[in-house]
Amino acid sequence: MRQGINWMQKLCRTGRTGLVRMAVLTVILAAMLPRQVSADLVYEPEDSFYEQHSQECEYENRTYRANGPEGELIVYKSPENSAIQERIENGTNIYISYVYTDNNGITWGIIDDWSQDISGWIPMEYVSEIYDNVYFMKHYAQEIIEEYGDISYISPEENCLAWAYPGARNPTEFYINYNNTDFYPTYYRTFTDECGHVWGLIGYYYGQRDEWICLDAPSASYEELYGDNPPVRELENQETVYSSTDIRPESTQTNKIVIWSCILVAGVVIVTAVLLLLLYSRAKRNEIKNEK
Amino acid sequence: MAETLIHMYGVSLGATLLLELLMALAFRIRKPKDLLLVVLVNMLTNPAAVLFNWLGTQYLQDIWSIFCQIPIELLVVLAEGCIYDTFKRNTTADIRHPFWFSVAANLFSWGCGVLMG
Repeated sequence: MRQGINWMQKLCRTGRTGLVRMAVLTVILAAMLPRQVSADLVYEPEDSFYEQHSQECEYENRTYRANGPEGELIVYKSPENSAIQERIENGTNIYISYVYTDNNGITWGIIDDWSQDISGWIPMEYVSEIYDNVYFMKHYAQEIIEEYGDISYISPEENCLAWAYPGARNPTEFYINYNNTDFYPTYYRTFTDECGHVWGLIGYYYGQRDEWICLDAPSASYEELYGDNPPVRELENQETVYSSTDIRPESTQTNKIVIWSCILVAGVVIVTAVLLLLLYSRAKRNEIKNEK
Repeated sequence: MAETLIHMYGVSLGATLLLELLMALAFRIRKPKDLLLVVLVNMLTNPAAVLFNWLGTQYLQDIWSIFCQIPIELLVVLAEGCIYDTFKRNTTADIRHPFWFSVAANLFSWGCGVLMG
């Protein structure tokens, strides 16, 4: 502690230069802050409501389609603040990172889409699913088997492909670290598709999450796997039924905090101002006494 | 709600007082009355600054609420500097560089606040 104070005194002894150095250092350090992430590279949004309720939020990490009443989806400041941030046309894909359920049982999702510059909360009732791995696994739950294995048999020369789900298009390259023979990608679920190909689901491997690998043809393209007989991967006909067409944030809690905050702050400011005036007049009186 | 208010104002004020008193010691402000002045000045400005910043985050888009913080902090620095300067000129308060102290103390506490999240 003493050394810390001596260091700061030394810094400040140089006067304005020292202050400028310190100020610049503070600003540089603050500016170098990355966006918030938690362990294991899970992104966390920079949102004041999320920061206050992060323990109550669940990681969703899924893309949905806007499907609000009256043709648009309204994005609100938070589940407790009805300030409108944005209006999104129905049919637009939106990424939901986290969901939160309020005291009324309404589930809200947070959009934090940098590419579209949209940030805020939406009622999850007003979005619809798109065909993705989550939907695939729900739809084929009976046919997906719990089975474990690894893909160490895939040689480095093969360009192993990763798929969002069996039958998806546009695969990506699946990275395998051949330098670490103790840690090959392992699958924990398998699925046999309509053409007899066996697929394995890799839960997590070097940042690659929930990827399907075609175990019998890991480097085959979509055309090589299915030719002229691709599997059908479409959403079942879903009629939109809203429980309510007027779901909005309830601002009651926020309003209460605003009112009490104003009363509290006004009280503290008034009392402190009075104390400062008393301190000032007393100090001035003492000074006059000393001068006499 | 009480917990929310205590967290919002209590934690912020407590941390600010601690950091600014540290800075006061570094500026050789040692007299108990002068340190009391630092405490009272921060009690005057910090809760109001926290309230306005919070209102900005509630009712403005996040990018604008960040821009609101800058003028609020500048006002705080100015107000605190003026009070220290008034005490320095008219009483025996031993604050040698009132405005520089206000700048340094507020920058230090703001920077620590940002780093601590």
